[in-house]
Amino acid sequence: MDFRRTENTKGAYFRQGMKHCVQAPGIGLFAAMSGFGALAKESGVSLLIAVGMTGGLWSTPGQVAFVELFATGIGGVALIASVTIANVRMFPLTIATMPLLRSRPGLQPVQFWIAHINSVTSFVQVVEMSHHVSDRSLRTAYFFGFTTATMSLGLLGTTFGYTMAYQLPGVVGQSLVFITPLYMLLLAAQSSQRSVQMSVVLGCALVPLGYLVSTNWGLLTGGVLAGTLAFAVDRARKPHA
Amino acid sequence: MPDAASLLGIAIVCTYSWRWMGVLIAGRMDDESPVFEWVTCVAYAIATGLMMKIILLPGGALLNTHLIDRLAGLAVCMGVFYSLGKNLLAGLGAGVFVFMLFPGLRSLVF
Repeated sequence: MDFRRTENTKGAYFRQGMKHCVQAPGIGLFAAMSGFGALAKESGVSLLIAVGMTGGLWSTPGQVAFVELFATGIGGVALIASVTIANVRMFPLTIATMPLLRSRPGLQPVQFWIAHINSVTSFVQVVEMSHHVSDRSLRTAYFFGFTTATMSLGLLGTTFGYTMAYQLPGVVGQSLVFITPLYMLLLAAQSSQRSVQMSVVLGCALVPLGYLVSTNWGLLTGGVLAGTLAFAVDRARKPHA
Repeated sequence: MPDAASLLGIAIVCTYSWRWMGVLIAGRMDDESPVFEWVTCVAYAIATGLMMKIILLPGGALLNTHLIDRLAGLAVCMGVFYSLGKNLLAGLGAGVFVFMLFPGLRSLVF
C-alpha cells in the first residue's frame, strides 16, 4: 500500500486513510458486520439496539456474545460478564496504539475518542502505516480517516444484515450468518504469535464444550481456561521467560 | 432478565472501561508485559471459541443447516486462506460459497 502523500496535509492523509479502508479491510468488515446484523435480528433485539451495539461496543466478540446470550434468555449478570471479558482485548490494544499516535507526552482528550473508534483491523493498519509515516499528526489524521470509514461501513453492514436477514431466500440468508464466524476465525488465524495460535485451538475446543456444560457460563469459563492454559504452556516452553 | 436497552447501556460502559484504562495506563506500562500476553490469549480464546460454537452448535437460521455443510465451508475457507498466503477475503469467499453449494452437491452424490 502507498502510505506517503506528496501533499503533507492532514486532509490528504485523512483521505488516504479512508481510501485504504474501502479496500480489503472494509469489504471484510462490512461482510462481518452484515453477519452480525443478521445474528442480532434472530436474537430478537431491535434494529436500533443492533446498531447501538456496533457503534457503542465496537468489538465483534462482545457484540456476538451479547446477541448469542440474549437469544438464550439467560441472566443479565452472566451476559454482562461474558460481554465484558470478551472485549478485554481492547485493553492491551489501546495501550499498544497510543504510543504510535501520541504527538506529545501526557493525556490528551482526543485519546479517549481514539480509544473508542480503534479496533483490531485499524490497529493492524496503523502499525503498518507507522513504518512509512513518522509525523504523529499525519498518522493521527490517517487513523481518523481509516476509522471513520470502518465505523461507517460497520454501521451500514449491521443495518444491511439486519434488514436482509429474512428477505433473502433460504441458503443465501443462512450464509449471511455464516460469514461472521468465518471472518473472525480468519482474523485470528492471521496472527503469527505462537501463544495466540494455541489460544485459538484450545478456545475452539473448550468453549463449545463449556456451552454443553453451562449455557450461562460456558463461554466465560471455557475461554478463560483455554487462554490461561495456552499462555501457561507457551511460557513454560520459552527458554528463559 | 432486564431489557435489551439497559443491558446494552451497561455493556457499553463496561467495554469502554477497558479502553479508558488503556488510555490512562498507556506509556506507563510496557505493552509486552506478560499480563497483556495473558489478556490477549484469553481474548482470542473467547472470541474464536464463540465463533466455533456458532459453527458447531448454532441457533437461529443455521439451526436448519447440516453440520457437515458448515464444516465443509470452514475447511475450504481455511484451506484457501492458507494456500493463498493468508488471504482473508479469498478464504472468506470460498468458505461461504462452498457452504451455499454443499447441500446441493451432497444431494447429487448420495
